Amino acid sequence: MHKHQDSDPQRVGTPADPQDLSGLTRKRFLSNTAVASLGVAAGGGLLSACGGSSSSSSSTGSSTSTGASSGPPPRGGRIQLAWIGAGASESFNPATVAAPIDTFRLYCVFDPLVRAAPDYKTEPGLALKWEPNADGTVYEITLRDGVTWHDGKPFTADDVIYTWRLMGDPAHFGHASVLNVDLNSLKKLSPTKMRVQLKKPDFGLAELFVFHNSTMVVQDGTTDYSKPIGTGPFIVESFEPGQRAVFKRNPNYWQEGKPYIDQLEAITVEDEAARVNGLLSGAFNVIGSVPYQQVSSLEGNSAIKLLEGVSGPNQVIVMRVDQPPFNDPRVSLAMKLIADRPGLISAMFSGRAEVLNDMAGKGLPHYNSSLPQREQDLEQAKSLLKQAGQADLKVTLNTTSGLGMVNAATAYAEQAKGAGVSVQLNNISPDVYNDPAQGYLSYGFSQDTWPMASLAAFYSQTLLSKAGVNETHFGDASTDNLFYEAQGAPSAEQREAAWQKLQKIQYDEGGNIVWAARKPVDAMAPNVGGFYPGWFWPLGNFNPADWWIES
Amino acid sequence: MLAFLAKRLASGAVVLLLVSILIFAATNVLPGDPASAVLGRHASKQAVAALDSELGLDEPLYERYVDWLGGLFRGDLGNSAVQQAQGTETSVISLIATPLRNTLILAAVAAVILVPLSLLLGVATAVRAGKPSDQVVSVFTLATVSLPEFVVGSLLILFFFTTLDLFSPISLVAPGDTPLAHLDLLVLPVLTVVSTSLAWTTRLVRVGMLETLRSDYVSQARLNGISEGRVLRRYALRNALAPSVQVFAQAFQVLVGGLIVTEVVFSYPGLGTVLVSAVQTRDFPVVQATAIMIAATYLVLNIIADFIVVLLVPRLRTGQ
Repeated sequence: MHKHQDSDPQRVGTPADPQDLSGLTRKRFLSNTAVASLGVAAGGGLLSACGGSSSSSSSTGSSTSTGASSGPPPRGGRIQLAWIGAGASESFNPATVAAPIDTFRLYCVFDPLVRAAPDYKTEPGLALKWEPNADGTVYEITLRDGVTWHDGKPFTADDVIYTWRLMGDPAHFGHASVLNVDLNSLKKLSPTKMRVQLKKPDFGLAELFVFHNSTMVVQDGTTDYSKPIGTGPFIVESFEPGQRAVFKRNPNYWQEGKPYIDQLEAITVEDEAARVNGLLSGAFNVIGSVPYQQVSSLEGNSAIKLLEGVSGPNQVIVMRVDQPPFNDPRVSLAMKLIADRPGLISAMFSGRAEVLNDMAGKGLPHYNSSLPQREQDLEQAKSLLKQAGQADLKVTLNTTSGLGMVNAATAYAEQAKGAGVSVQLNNISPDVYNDPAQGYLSYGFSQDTWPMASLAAFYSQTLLSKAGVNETHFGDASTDNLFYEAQGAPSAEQREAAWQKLQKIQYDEGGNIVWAARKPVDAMAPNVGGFYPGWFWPLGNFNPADWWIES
Repeated sequence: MLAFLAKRLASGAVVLLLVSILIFAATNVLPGDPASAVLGRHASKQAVAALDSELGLDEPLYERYVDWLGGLFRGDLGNSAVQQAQGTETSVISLIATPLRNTLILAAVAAVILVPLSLLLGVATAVRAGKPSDQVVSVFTLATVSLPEFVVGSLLILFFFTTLDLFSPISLVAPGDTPLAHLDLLVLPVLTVVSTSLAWTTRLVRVGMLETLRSDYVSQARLNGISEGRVLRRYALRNALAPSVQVFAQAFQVLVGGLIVTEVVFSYPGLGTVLVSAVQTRDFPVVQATAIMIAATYLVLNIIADFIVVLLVPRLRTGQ
């Protein structure tokens, strides 16, 4: 279960109006908490801005926060956060981090090159500018000046070059981000400037460096991550894998005045109910991504504040399209038409999710919002299946309890009956569900959940022919070429057109039934704040430098 | 006496050796391995193979077993495989030392409460067999004996935290701290363990005591006009204790299993939570070390119980 940041939601509640995303919950939250970095949305937008030739925001990206209604955030204090952990496999090594508690801790100790900001935007982290040459094959990256590591050394281009070369290892979870980078020729031009030679033109390079495994910069020469040196807002004081990490404030952090709190603890607990009980009892004061069946029990509790994200991991039912029965596009389309998405959302997320349209990354730059929302159409599904000679289709859907997916699988199987399709469930242990040696990547029909950093990241990781985890086995030369065009065509219009086309193909023929983006619900004590509704990670996109606590 | 002890120890060692083979084989038939647990969905065959060879998992099973066994004899439990896969060398001993201590503290506190309480209840109900007080205890113990730890734990949380707001529902102890400094955190886990074990220890003590009370020599003693209190203390209790010792040895063994569940329910940082997450991440050396320690605990408890029984029943000492 720890491989995913999913909780284990149960069947409760009714589906909410999918349009009612940013209404009450968010507004209430914004006014209750002195939301840090709201101003960022204006100054940020790095990714959408770096399309043309260069010149993203060169602002500090910090855009100092002010308390919305109650003055500047208070300084000092300690925040304790709890999450389901991953035992002794917990680590600070960005190469292999997957558990949410580990991911969060990366954002405490390290700084990202590109940081997620409110409203599906990004802002500069350690990389201020990504400037491609005219044909998009050479980049000059300008790094933030005056940043120091926790051991006092200055942060320079050497650190980024070292970090990127580590990603050259295919086993590194950020490997997909550097596939197009000529790692040997990375060159430091000055302490804060580096030159990057690409193999193919790419005007959207920065979009590949939002994901936590590829965006975190480690210090040149780091090999041991047991007590890592970072540039981030917090310094590791102690770390016991599987128990807790204790951090203290980095007094030399480059964001003026931040972080606000003096101490931060990330505590591993083994049981979801214990996590909620611990929050209620005050054993800790923040929990991220509460299981949906627990959320309703916290609603109306005045001692607890809830925060719902604007978006979150995309939920997919995965069809392998290189073999029967899903190699017939009529069959895969029928399977998409079978899905009653609001019904699935109700079964799995108590309605706290946005309906998706068989394309990943709704809300992000380049997303194709021109296609009609796909809805359940059992008649059309039946007729497609009949045309394909699969009127009495029987398939096995691989699912796993640990990711909380069984409810959705059960609901989908029930819906499929309406089209005469028999869906058997095969419940696999969460410990091995994502282990390629145990069948992952060979499943004909399965489920998954993807945190969505950017379209480029998702496509390069999962849909290109050489993608590391091509679950649908979709990739072919034409998709690859369209992707390269979307990233590297000379004009912005051409690139955008390619992006739209690429997504249309997924909408029509792709193997992913992308049915929802679940909105994580975080819970916290009323006296902590500094969170905005995140789209990438829970707890305000993991931005602990902005957090504060009132004593 | 010494011969008896030596014999028990020797047979214990043989059993432990067999158990070690079982543990080693069992962990290796689990699907998945530490390399794929750490590498996750990105675990290509080459990457797993490279990590396997770094961890020594590509060597034949029997060689790894012999290595591991040799390590055991030297007191070297090896390194955590998943930590090593993450590039950090962490010995199993350093990983489990504090959790082991925490578990022992929890077990000891539970035992200190469990033994006298179940003796008291067992004897008291045996003496009052059939009377209302006996029946009340019987119903109560019957009810709890059928409830698993996680249910009892949740009920206790519901009552003592949600309703009364008296005790913490979560028993986190910071690394470097000791549970003994936060006894309030031990209350609910100890209650959970005690109440799930108390039921059948009480019942078994009661049965043993009843049997003794119905024996000829107790009747004889009563007929001789010896006072009831003296009959209980001098004649019945001592003889009833012998089977009770075995009962407690078994109770502690079951308690070890219950501790694992209880620790997870309360997020108590003991051996149980370590074992659960080690199984999930296929951290073989940690699983093996923990399992062999639990097996050794069983054996030691058995030997101690046998020893005490021999001390209590002189007949067994001379019979050999």
